[in-house]
Amino acid sequence: MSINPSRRADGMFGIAKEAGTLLAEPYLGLWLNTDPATKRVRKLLIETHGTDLSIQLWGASEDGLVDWGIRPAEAYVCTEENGVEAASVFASYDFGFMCCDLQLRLNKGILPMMSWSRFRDDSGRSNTYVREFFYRAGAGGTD
Amino acid sequence: MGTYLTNEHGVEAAHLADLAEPRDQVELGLSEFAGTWINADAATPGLAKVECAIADGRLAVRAFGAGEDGLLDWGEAQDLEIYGTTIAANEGNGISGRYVFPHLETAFQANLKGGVMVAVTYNRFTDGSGRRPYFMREFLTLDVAP
Repeated sequence: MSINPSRRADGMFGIAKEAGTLLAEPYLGLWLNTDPATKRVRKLLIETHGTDLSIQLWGASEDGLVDWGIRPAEAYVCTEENGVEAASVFASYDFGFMCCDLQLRLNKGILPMMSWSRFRDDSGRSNTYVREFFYRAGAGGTD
Repeated sequence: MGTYLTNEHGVEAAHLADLAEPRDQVELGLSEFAGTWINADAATPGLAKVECAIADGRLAVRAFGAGEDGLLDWGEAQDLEIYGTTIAANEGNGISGRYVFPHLETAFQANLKGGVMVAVTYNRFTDGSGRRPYFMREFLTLDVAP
């Protein structure tokens, strides 16, 4: 058995992948950006396929929504301040000219998403991270 | 600069508006990261310390986990990337990297905010043991003499 890099890694034994997917249930569904004028991600969809998770993003553009496509996502166990286990969801997109890692962690009905974008096209753009906030479609009276 | 105005995914439109003028690629400033960052929670079971050193214009990030008998040296982060707060940024404010252990892979991201390094790790076991992947968020502050 290899030595864990921290004490937190101890005690993660013997729980199947299904448990993580179950923890991610509150994430499932369609989410809309709280800023309707965003120039970035306008909406996202998280779904299950058996024990697998997927995410689909739509970016904002002058010509309407741009479908980023569907990518696999993974639920990671995290422990909230009250000791209750929850999940954080992680996914990545690779468009060649830009790679983007996404971190999502639900917080009291709002879904914050940190996106970490790395540009590979010598366009002069700096790598950048952005935090955006999403609400469940329908929860704000809008679908 | 039409070479990056379009691509087959159309994704760039969501980002281009932030770059008012085309420019050459810049190396993001690293000075904000320099130093030893200590977890504000001394009892953390996760990431205890992050050392950021700059040499020859390059940033090296060395992390340490909290072990039963002291700190565990994770070594230097691989595939380190520097991020700004916008695509027009000149100063680095975020970093990402990864650590590969014999049985575990850790994706590491951190950003600076108000003198705090907000660091997250996404940890996935690679040994087929079925152990759950886990996430941690930690808050670290610079270790400076009072």
